[in-house]
Amino acid sequence: MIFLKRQFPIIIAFVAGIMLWIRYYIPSETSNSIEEGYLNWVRIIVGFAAILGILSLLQHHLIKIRLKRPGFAFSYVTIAAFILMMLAGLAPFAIPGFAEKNMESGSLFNWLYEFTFIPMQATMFSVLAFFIASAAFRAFRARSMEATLLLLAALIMMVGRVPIGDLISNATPTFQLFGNDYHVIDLEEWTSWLLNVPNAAAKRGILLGVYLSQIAIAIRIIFGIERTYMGGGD
Amino acid sequence: MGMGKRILACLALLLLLPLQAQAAPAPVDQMLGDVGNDDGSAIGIFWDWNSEPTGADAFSLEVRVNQELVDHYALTERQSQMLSDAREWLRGEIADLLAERTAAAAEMRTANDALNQGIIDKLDNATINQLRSNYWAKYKVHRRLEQRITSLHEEFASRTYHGEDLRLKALTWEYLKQALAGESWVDATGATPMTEVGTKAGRTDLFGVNAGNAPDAGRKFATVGTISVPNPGTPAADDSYTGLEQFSSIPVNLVPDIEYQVKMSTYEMVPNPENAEESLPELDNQYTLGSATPLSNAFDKSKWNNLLFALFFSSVILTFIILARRNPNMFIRRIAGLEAVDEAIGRATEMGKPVLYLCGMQSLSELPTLAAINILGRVAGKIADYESDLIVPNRDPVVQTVAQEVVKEGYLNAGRPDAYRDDNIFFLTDDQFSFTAATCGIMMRDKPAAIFLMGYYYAESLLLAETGADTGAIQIAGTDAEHQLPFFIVTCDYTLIGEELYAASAYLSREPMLLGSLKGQDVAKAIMMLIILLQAIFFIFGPQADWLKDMVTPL
Repeated sequence: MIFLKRQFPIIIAFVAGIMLWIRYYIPSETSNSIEEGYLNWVRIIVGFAAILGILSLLQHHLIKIRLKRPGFAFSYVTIAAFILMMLAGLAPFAIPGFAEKNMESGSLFNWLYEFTFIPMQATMFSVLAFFIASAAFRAFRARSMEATLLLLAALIMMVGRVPIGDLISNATPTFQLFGNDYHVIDLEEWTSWLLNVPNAAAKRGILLGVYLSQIAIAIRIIFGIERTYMGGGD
Repeated sequence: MGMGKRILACLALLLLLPLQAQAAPAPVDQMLGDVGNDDGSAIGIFWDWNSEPTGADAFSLEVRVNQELVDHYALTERQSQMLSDAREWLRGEIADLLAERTAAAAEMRTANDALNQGIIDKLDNATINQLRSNYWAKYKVHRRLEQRITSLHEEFASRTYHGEDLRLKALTWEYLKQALAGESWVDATGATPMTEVGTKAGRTDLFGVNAGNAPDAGRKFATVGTISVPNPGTPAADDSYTGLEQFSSIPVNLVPDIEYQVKMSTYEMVPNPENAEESLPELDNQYTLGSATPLSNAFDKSKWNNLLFALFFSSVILTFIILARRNPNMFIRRIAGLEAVDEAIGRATEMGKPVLYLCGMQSLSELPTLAAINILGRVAGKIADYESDLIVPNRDPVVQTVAQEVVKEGYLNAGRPDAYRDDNIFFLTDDQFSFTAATCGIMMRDKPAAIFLMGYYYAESLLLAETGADTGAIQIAGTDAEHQLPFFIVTCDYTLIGEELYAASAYLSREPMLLGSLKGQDVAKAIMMLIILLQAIFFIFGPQADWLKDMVTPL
């Protein structure tokens, strides 16, 4: 049992990791079909795991209702919505007023998806605009040197990316430098510089570290040095 | 022949001579060989023009279809049966719908025309509204039919996909078979201006041109990897009765290990009589260039630098892991976000409130999620020590299953298996914003004292972090999603930036072997920085060192 819980997963991780790494360098059809086979296995496992997920969701909410934990009323809503959607999709009979077959366009399932689920999703996404305003207010308070720089950069970016930025830039006088004409305030140039120079440099620096870290963590997992993700307790 | 006729013939010859001189240049000294690029195997062709081309000269390359290529796309008996069954099924289901859609589209167009005419005629508002609602009613009928047809097509696609698209394969076979029965030559490049063709030196994406020892510098060079096989217009190539997409041509990749004949056509671009701004290719001549066999490569040589770097970095990291076993006391710089883990969990214990931990929005096959799971294992042990509650909502059922195991192990290692609660690590939904809404709800109801946002996040990062900040919880975020980092930095108390997320597990565990890999990673980073610095210096102060750029591109 210890072998199955400890060594066997490490062997699988090692073999699969090395095999798929080598496959990356082999462009033949056989190597592609090996990868395709691996991906099919992933799909099969995910398919089975979905059942576990549904059971976990139901178990969590039923326990919450049984123990009357805070907000347990919402669990009734979750379970009712779950059952309704499941029936709408799987019911072996036509639901009056909707399309003849379930899961088709015009069916109750489709109707619920289109007119309840999608608007609710859009609502959540649109809330983001207000959250950005609230976060910006917190971030742009000039309490330190760094925060002041952040505030200045944000101001240039915000004004420079809207039409009024162009109007402001064009209204300022011009001067000559190395034979070129420049505006005293050129927000378009400044925003491009901010995005393409300091921002891109910082981003690439972060990404460089991330990619190297990913190589390192992949090596740790392939060679069984990092085993936390395996869990394994009874 | 009379003197007059002789003079006329001479004049005609004189007139024809300049025309002959204007004929499109012809290829000479051509040489063919196999070539590989990112898309697979292809044929590489070198040649020279026998005269200088002008802007009006164009050429195209054609490949002769052969029986072996046709056979490669033949369906097995089982595949043919599957495809035929699926076609029959679709035909039965869709026939009436297609007719209804045609009628509905006509009605919708009529209603739209009536509405537009009404607006132009400035009819009264009531009539316009009636016309508009009539149009919308027709539009909805048409849209519903469209949706039903689309869903039938999707069902057909899933029935005919068995590792490959059987319909596309069957059509490719039909197109190729008809091409073989006809002239056999199929266009590969289309008419291309001769002045635009480059040399092999400009093609850094290629490798392995086996065209003998011919000097390639300065010679014209082109590759043929895909041919565009036209729709033959046979009943078997026509799927119009199913409403499925019709192809005017299908791009077919050259199958390796088959010998192909290659031909070149030269054209003169003449003005299009129907559109003065356009020009049309007028065939001038055709030349058989020879034949070649693209090879299936055992190793993708365009990735040699990637392999070298991977081996080098792996050996550096493994060396430091070995060194760490000999000298376990390695210095790792302080990471504030990870130092605060104890403080956050301690605060949760003092307040008697739970700790909320998120593993990100990606599946377990993504490295940020694995990193988040690794940190969860370490954090769970500490939480068990402090006797706090841990809540882990998940977006992926596989992640949830693994998270349960990892937390259970953490509690077990801390000697508190009794405190572990299985239902606290649960699956919510795999939909992005439903998950966000549910998690925000948990934050508002349970008011956790500490929130960990580890892993990869998308647009929901700010929604989660702002809601967490509203509850007054200590928030520690860690992500390598560079676009979401600013949001976390603004709203969270501590943020693990990029690589710190991957270092966290080693940092928290202090296991020498894991710390060794961090050291190795730092050395690798220093080498990369050196390469970037050298490239920058060469670029600024001297001739650009392309070998440095080539060495790291594409990695």
